[in-house]
Amino acid sequence: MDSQKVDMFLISNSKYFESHQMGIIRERLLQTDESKWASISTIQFKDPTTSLIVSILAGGLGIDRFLIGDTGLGIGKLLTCGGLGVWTIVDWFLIQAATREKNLLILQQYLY
Amino acid sequence: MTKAGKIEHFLFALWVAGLCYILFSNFYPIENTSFCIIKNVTGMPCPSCGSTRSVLLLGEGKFLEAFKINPLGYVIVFIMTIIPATFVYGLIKHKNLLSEIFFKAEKLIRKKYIFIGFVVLIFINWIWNFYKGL
Repeated sequence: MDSQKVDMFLISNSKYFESHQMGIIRERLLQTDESKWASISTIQFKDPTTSLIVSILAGGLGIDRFLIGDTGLGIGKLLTCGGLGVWTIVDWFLIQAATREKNLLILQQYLY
Repeated sequence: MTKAGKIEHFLFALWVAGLCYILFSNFYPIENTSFCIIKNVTGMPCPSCGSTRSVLLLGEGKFLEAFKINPLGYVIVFIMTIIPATFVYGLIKHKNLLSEIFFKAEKLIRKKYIFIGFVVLIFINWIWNFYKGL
């Protein structure tokens, strides 16, 4: 894919990915062919800020984990009352990074 | 470490923590303590309020009372037996059995109708908790 499109993608989607992954993403996007551009440009990524807000408001019920697609961990969190409160608080700090990791996985599915 | 390895270690650690918590609650019961952030901040019960008491009642063989306090106790006991069993079996067979089962269960519950059914059941349980005044 040509670098202009790739850079445009990176700029408009920078908040959805971890900064240290941007280089790798750029490389992979440059190697992917043009035909995938249509599908890639329409991917809906999960917003880390939204998941943080959900985590603070309803983290005890595991809803933040359900939101990013971690269904199993979400159930675990729900059954244990937010891991006895500990997991709830830990996730306040982890959930944004976890969301960005999940977004990378979503993107990788489209690149193959 | 592979993703499967990480999940295995995390689930096993979770199991150990859960076991310690249950044993602690059993031998050193303290009145009216709850680790639930929702209960402590808003005073409202959450869907799994009473689940510890339920598990302890199941340990005593009181199946009906355990269900009445919180049916999720059954789910927790089920999970607490599956985790070590598959973890150990997986170690013996040199496969990541626990994480395989975990990912299969995740796929299963992600199916639309199963997920909606699950949410509805949890919701009903939550409302029942309010009724019971937990």
